[in-house]
Order: sequence, then structure tokens, then C-alpha cells
Amino acid sequence: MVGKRRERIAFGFDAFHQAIAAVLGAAAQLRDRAALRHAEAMVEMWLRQDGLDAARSDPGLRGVLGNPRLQDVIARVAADRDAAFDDWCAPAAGRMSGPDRLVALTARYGPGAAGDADGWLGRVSSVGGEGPVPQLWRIGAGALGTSGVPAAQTGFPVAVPLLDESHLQITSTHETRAAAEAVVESLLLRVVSYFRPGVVQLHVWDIGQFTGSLPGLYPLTRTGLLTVHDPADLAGLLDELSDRIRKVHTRVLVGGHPSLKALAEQTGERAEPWVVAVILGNRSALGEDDQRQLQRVLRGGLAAGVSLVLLDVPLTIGAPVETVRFRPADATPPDDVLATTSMTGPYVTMTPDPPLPRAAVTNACHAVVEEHERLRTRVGTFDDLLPPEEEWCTEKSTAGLFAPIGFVEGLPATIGLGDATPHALIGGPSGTGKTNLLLTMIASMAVRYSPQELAFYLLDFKEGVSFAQFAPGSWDTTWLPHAKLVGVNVNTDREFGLALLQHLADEMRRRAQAAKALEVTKLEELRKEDTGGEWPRIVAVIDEFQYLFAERDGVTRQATQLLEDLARRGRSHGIHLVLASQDVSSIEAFWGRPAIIEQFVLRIGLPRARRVLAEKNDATLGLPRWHAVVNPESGISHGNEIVRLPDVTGRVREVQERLHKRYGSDVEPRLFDGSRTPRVDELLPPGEQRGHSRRTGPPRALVGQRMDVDGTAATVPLPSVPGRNIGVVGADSEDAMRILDAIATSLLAHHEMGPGDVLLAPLVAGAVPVAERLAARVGSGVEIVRLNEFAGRLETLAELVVDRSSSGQRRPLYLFLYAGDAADAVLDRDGTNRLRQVLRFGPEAGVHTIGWWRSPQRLRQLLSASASPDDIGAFLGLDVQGSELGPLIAPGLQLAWSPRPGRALFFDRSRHAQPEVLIVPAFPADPRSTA
Amino acid sequence: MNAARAYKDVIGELVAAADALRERDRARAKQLKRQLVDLEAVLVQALERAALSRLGVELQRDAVLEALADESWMALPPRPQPAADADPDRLPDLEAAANHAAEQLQEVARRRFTLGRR
Repeated sequence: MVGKRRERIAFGFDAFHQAIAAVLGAAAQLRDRAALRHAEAMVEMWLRQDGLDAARSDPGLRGVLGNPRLQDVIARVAADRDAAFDDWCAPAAGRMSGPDRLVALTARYGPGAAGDADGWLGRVSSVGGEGPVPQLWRIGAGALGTSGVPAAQTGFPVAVPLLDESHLQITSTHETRAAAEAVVESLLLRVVSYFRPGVVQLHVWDIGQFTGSLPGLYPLTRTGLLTVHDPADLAGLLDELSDRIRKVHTRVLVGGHPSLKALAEQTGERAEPWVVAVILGNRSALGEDDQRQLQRVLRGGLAAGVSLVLLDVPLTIGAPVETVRFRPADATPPDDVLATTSMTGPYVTMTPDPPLPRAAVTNACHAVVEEHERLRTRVGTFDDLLPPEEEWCTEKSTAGLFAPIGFVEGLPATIGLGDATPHALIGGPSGTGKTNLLLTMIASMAVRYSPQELAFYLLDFKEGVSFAQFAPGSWDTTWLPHAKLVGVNVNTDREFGLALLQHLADEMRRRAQAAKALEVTKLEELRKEDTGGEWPRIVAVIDEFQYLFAERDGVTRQATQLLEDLARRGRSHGIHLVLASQDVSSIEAFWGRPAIIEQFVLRIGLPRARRVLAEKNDATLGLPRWHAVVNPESGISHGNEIVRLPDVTGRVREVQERLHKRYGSDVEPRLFDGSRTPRVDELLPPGEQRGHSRRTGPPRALVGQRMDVDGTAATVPLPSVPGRNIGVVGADSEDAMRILDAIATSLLAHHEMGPGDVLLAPLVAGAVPVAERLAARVGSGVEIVRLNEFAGRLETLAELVVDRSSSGQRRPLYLFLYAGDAADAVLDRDGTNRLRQVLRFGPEAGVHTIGWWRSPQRLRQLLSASASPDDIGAFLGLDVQGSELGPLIAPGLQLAWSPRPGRALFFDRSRHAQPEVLIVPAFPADPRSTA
Repeated sequence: MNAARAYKDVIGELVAAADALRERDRARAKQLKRQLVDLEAVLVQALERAALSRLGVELQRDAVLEALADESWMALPPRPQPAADADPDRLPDLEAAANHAAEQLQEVARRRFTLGRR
């Protein structure tokens, strides 16, 4: 009984314990379940609020996120996150994922060293400034989220724009500074490696140290690819950069292009190298002045090819800029560095590319420098300056003329003739390549502009024939279609230079009048208004122009006045002067007129050239051969640019032939060759050359060729009025007889002659054959009167004059006196008086005397008593001093005439205020003629 | 098209997706915040309920032990561990069952004295 009771109690107790274990278990479950639900909600709320990545990188949440009971929540949040980016990371078939598109973009716009992850270091490129220019430069790898650990399918390259596109602002912490500097070093090395050495120039300024920053790049300083600036002189760097920006805007972007990039897109050439300047700060603000200047550089730099990389320089930038912000990694390993960038936004973390091995960087820089050295010492060829032939003559000269003449750091160096630099002055002693430079400039411009856009007037005072190739010759019949006038061997014919200036001044006046009629002031506006008109820019090149100012005489005075006028006003009317000289310093007239010299803003100095640059600028003294200092700042030192010149020997002719093929039908240029003597038949109007023309109006005696741009014939009209005789004065029998021959030829071509209408009186033996040759050439109507017959023939002639005076008979009769003073030997007083009578009364009776006297005194004697100097209306002085001619021509007139062979001083009382110099024509079959 | 612009456009799609996710997360967080108020009440209630159950069990056990005080032959086992497989939703039933078991045990313990008096 007791045993059974005890059994029941034991059983009951077990049952009770089981029951309370179940109650305790259920209560605990109830509590735990509520707590878990609460915790899950709490954790999910945190994750939703802060983001899974942020929560993961929060050390305080590490324990919570590691709780296995909360993994469902975390997995749910992660799944939502992955689903959200599914379309970007792994879109449906047929579409590229975001990372793939970024890979493709970087590959396309960041080719080679710009965007390759590896394998680019150590290669030296040959890509020039013309491109292709990378628009993206790799700096690291990106991953979705903030952890920086890319999932296999979401990693992509992070790249930033730089050249022409954007500046770069990098901020780092103390811990991440080294990584940030490594990114800058890699970026610079990518830029330098991508292009041919010299296309990009680097500048580094570090507030903290002279040489410590970016040490791997230091080999680049050897050839100037990298300039390291003094830590105490940020202003110096900023001034250099702002000078550069100013220079680009005033010299290169003068055609209305907004930037060098736009200019390069149009021309296919990079006009200026890029500059990347790195400023390494210390997270403290710069001084106010530096900040202001830096802002200016940032604002204006990109258009001028200047990009800045700022590291730890706190600044708000008012210009296109991309930012990179470095921070230490939150998770292990602690040395890792991460960054966010403006390119990739807040949801991408960039892991910067690892620093490049120091030795590899140094080797790569040495390779670049060696190639740069090789390129710098290489002679750039003229062909490198030519655009592709399909682009020849396609540029417009509306804003100016721009053409490269050489190379700076392997890039074409362009000069401009336009508003900013209207005229150029070139100096260089003999043998320094002045002609080579001029030919380069002419050819380089000619291939860029059509003859409708550009016209050349080319004048060479020295005895060389460098410009002769631009005119058709005997063995090369092509010419430069742009050339309107080519003057060679001008030598002492300064009057021709004067004529050129006068022609340009006339053209300037014509343009000014046209502009005035259309109510505009400048050529650009005139061309816009008068679309049908041809208003090419004119470039007048005068080599050895100092000869024009060689004497203190009227020519120099007039030339100076014209030059001043052209220099001042030519700019507005598209007329540009390019004056070249061996020695600019000797031109008194020129340097005495600062108003002239100031207009020659573009100066080019060849080795050892003096005074062509500003007074204290002696940059030309150390120049090697084939180099020039090009200075578009009136010769002030800061405008110096040393340009390597190509050798154009033989190449200009080829260019000309190709241009001639295009425009060969255009009018050929006028050639003035000072060493060539024109023949009479060339000077006669076309109809009279064969002697068949019979013009109306008074006969005109051709006395020579005028020194004008058109090379017109100088004539003396011989109407039947007093004084219409011609006197040739000088001992030079050759020139005198050529003039008489020309006069006779022209008069005989003018009208039919009857017997005795032309009397040739060779009064010295030397003149007899000349007279006989003339008589034989023109045939009937010519009578030769020798010295012993002269007195008698003169008597009948005087009687004829008297008869005609009363009869009104005016049929022309010409008396040619060869050495008229020789008649003194055979003429008594009456005979002399008869000659005076013929001179004084003959012209109005149609009897004109064309005489050569060997001495002005003897002629003056003849023109005394019953005759006077005005009985001879037109004079031609040969080898006679101006002071002796003065009293004959116009008493009181001071004549500065220096006799020279083949030239005559011509004065026609009825037309001239001042005498002019003529070229004495050749005999029709003159052996001295080179025609 | 400018390459940097194109690059940023691609990133822009990512940013848009991220922004949309953030917007959804924000809404969900707001919802959770509201839920948390209820869950907190539920939690407090559950804690109280569990504490009450534990107290009830303790009182019952004390009563049972008192009823078995004279059973010197009996070795008392320690308090049982909560049953891991107990269904919290059946807590009232389980409490009732425990109560019933306690009553039955007490009843068995009381019967000895009745037999002695006979």
C-alpha cells in the first residue's frame, strides 16, 4: 500500500516537473520570439537607414551583423540591394552592364597609356599634339558600395578627364597623402607616356619641399619636360601660367576660336603644347593674392591648354574640375586607401591603382627624356609644316594670316599677321638663313590660303634672286599664284621700292574708300559686307629693306612717310609689311621714327641679329644655326620663343608647282628685275610693236621704263607747241644712244614718215653706226646728216621752220642730234643761232629736236642768248650730277641724283613737279638685254 | 559626345538605382520604426507574461514541495530546465496542465493521512 502510494507520488512529481518545464520553455520561447522580432526590426531599420555597406563598415555593428539569428534580415536587405543594382550590374541579355560600358568607354577614350591598367609604363609614344587626344585618364578601380572591394562583375576602371577638359582637385588625409601623391605621379606619367615627348610640359610646385615630391619624375627636368618651382615662389609659377594663357589668347586664338582644342579640331594641328601644373598644398589656404591669381589661371587655363592638379589645396573652383577624396579604409587591412570621386559619385568607392615601382618610373622617365633629346636635335622638315594636300588653300584670312615657320619642342610654331601683330621685322646677318626663313613663311602661308585670301608683293633689294622663283622664268614657267609682284636685283633702284610702297598706299586708300562707302572700318567688316569683292590680305615682303633708306634724299623721305602710313593704317585694311634686313640698327630714318617701329610687333631674330628685338633682349646672340627667336611682343624678352627652322632648299619650287597647277590660269605676277633691261618693243603698246598702229593725238616719244609696279613706259608727248624738244644729257654715249633709238623707234611706230621727216645727225663717229642701224631698221623717211653736212642742213631746216610758221604746215619732222655739242666745231655764230632758232620755234611748226648733249654746260651755253632752257621741255640726265642738271631742268630745284648705268633722271617740264628715275631701254637687238 | 559626360551618364544610372533603393529603404525604415513600437509592446508583454509564468511555476513548486514535506523517503530533483520544444502559443494550456499536475500530486500526498485515521 505504502509502496503504491510512493509510486503514485513519484509519478505525479515527474509529471509535474515535465509540465512546469513545458511552461518555462513556452514562456522563454514567447520572450525570445518577441525579442527576436524586435531585434530583427531594429536591425533592419538600421540597415535601411544607413545602408548595408555603411553598417558593415561600422565597427560597432560588427557583433550584431555577425549574429546568426539575424542573418535572415541581413540577407533580405542584401537581396533588395542586389536586386536594385541588377539592371546596372547584370542586365538582361543584349544589353551591356554598367561596368562593361565603363570599361568600353575608358578603352575608347583613354587608349594606351591613358587608360590601360598595366603594361603601359616604359613605352615612349609618337602621338603628336594632333591626337587622338585621350579624354579619360585612369587613376584606379571602382566598385559599387563603400567597401572598395569589387565584386567580380561590378569592378570597373575609374578615369578622370584632364587635358583641355578639366582640372583635378585631390584631397587627402595625413594617412592617405602618400597614396594621393602616388596617384598624381601615375597620372602625370600616363600623360607624358601617351604623347610624343614635348607635347606636354609639366610644372610642379610643392609648398613643403624643394625636391621631395614626385621624385620619380625628376629625370624629366633634364630636357625641361618637368619644371620644379621654388616653394617660396608660387606667384612665379602662376605668373608663368597666366603669361602663357595671355599669349595663347593674343597670338594663337585670334581667329575667333574659343580654345586651342577648337582650333586644333578645325586645323588638325595642335598649335601649342599642353601644360599640366601640379600644386601640392598642405591643407592650409593659400595667400589671398595667390588664390586670386590661381582662380584666374583655373578659369582661363583650359582654353589655353593649361590644366591644374591641386592636391590638398583648399579652394572653391569656378571652373570645370573633377575631385578625388582619399580616406583610409575602414576595414582591414588598415594600410588600404580608398577614395570617392566626382566622376563616380557617392555610391562607388575607388581603390587607387597601386603606386608604380620606383625603378620602373625612373627608367620610363629616362626613356622619355632620351627620345625628347633625340627629337629636339632632329631637324624638322619643311614637309612637316605642310597640311594634307586636300586641305591646301582652304583657310580664310578674315581674322589674319597664320602659318607655321618652324618647330618648338617638336610642335609647329605658328606666326600670325593680323590685328595683334600687323607687321613683322626680321633681322639676321648674312648667312644666318634669312632668305630660307622668308621662303618658308611665304610657302607656308601660300599652301594655307588661296590667292583670293592672300596676295604677295615680294621685293629683294640684294643681288640674290631668291624671289625670282616665284615669277615665271625661262626654264621654269610656273609662278606662285599668290604673287602679284616680284622684284629681284633691285639693288640701287630704291625708287622701285618706293613705287611698291606707293602702290600699297594707293591700294590702302582704295580699300579705305570701299570701306567708307559701306560704312565699315576694317577689312573683316568690308569682306563681310562686300561679299562679291576680292579683298585678299596683302603681304609685302621686302628683303634687305635697309637699302630703301640708304641715302638722305627724297626717296628716303617719301619712303619713310609711306611706310609710316602703311604701318599705321595697313592693319585695318589687311596690308601687312614684312621687312627683313641684315642690319636693322643702321637705318637712321627708321629708328628715328618710333611710330613706325612700334607697329612692327612681330620680331624675328636670326642668330647674331642686332636691334631687331628690344634693346636689352640679346636672345639672338646665343642662337645656333637654323634657329630664330620669334617674338610677337615687340621684342620684349618675355615674348621670346626659340624656333627651329626647317631647310626649304628645293621644296618651295615643288610647292609652287602644285599651287600653280591649281591656280595656273590666274594672271602671272609682274616681275621687276633690276638687272634686266627692257626692250623698246616690250614697252610699246601691243598695237605699235609691229609699227602698224596709228594713234590719234600728239605723237609720244618713248624715253624709257618707269619705276612703277606696272612697269609702264615713260613717254614725252610731242604736240606742235613751243618747248616740245627732248634733251638727253650725259657723257655715257651708250645709254644716250639707246634713249634716242627708243624715241625714234616709238615715233616711227606712231605714224608714217615721209622722206626727210626724220633727220639723224650722228655728229660723232661712234654714233654713225647706231644711226645707220636705225635707218636700216626703219627704212624710208630717214635721212642721215653727217657732221660736215650739218651746218648746211641746219640752214634749210631753219628756213623750213620760218616757212612753216607762216604757212601753218605742221607735219612732224624730227631732228635727232647725236652729241649735239659736237656741232660747235662746225657751226659759226649764225649756225648756232639757227640751231637756237630751230629749238625755239621748231616745235610749234612740228619740228622737234631730240638731242643728246655730252655736257650740261655746253647745252646751257646753247640755251642762252636767243634761246632759253625752257626751249627743251623734257630732259633725261645720265651720268651727270644732280646739281649740274638743276639749272637746266628747273632753276632752284635741288636734285639729289646719283648717276648709275642704265638709269636716267627724267623731267618733263609740262608734267612733272619732281623728276623721276627711268630704266633706259635696250636697243631692239641689244646684247645687254637679257630678255 | 564628351567622354567624361558619357562616363558620368553611366554612373548616373547607378546613382539613380541607388537613389531609388535608398528611397525604398527609407520608406521601409519608416515602416519598421512604426512596427517597432508595437513590437516593443509585444516584447514587454512577452517578458511580463514569461515572468508571470515563471512566478506561477515557482509558487506551484513551492506548494508541491510543501505538500511533500513529510515524504522523507523522497529525493527531490532540481528544478527542471525549460523545455526547448514547448510551444509558446500553448502557454495557457501548459500552465493549466502544470496546475492540474500540481493539484493531482498534492491530492496523492494528502491521501496517506486519511488511510491512517481509518
